[in-house]
Amino acid sequence: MRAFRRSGEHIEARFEDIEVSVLTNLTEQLHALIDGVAAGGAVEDAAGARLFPPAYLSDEEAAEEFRRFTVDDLAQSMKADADAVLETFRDHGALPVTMGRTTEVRLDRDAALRWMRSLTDLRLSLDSRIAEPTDALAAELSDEDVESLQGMYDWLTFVQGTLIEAVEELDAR
Amino acid sequence: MPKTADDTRLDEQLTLGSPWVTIVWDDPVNLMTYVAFVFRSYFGMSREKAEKLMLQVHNDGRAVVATGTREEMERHVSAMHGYGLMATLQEADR
Repeated sequence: MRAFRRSGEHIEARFEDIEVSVLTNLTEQLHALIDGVAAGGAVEDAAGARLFPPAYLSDEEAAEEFRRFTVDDLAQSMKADADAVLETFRDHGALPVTMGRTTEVRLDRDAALRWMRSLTDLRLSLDSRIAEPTDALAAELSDEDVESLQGMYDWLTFVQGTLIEAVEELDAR
Repeated sequence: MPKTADDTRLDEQLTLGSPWVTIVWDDPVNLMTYVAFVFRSYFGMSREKAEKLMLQVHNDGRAVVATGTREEMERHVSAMHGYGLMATLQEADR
C-alpha cells in the first residue's frame, strides 16, 4: 500500500490486491452486521452495541425511544458509507479482485469523509470482536485468528491515520 | 461575528427551559486526530478549539461539546454516532 496523500483537490492511495480483498470482505461483513442491528437483532453483540450506542445514560426509556427513532437513519447512512468504499474500488477497476494488480484510488473530499466514517465503523466493530467476542465466536477463534484480527485492526488504523492527515491537509489549503 | 457571553445567555433564555448539553466520551478506538477532525468538520470549530476539546475528552474522559435545546442536542448526538463517537445528551448542571 502507498498511504493516502493529498494530490491537488483530491487525495490518493494505492492498494495491493490482497488489501482490496481484505477491505472489501470486512466492509461486506460490516454491511451485514448493520442490517442485523437495524432488523432488531445483534444488540447482544458487542460490535452492534458499539455502533449504535445509547444517547441517554440515566434514562433508559428516553434511550430506547431515541434508538427507535434513529436506528434506521443511522443504519442507512452507515451502509451508504460502506457502499462508498466498495464503489471506489469498483470505479477504479479493483473489483472483482485480480491477483497481482495494484489499484490507485482517488477520492474527492466527500468520498474521503465516507471512507473515514466507514473505516471508523470497521475499527470499532473489529475492536469489539477482539475485546468481547460472542461465545460462539470465542469458541471458533484460534490464537492465530485473533492475531490476524489484530493485524487487520492495526492496518486499518494506519490507513485511517493517513486518510485524516491527507484531508486535514486538503482543508488547510 | 463571535458570540458574546450575553448572546449565549439570551440563547439559553430562548429555549424556555434549562439547557441541554451534548457530551462526547473517550473511547479506546477513535484516533485523537479523528476526534479533532470531527469537531472541526461537523461543529465548524476552529482547529484550536477542536484540539482543546479533543484533549479534554482524552484527558478527562469526557467533554461538553454543545449546549442548547434538547432537540438540537439529539441531532448532534445522532450526528456524533454517525461518526462513530460515543456521545450522550443530558440536562445541563445548574
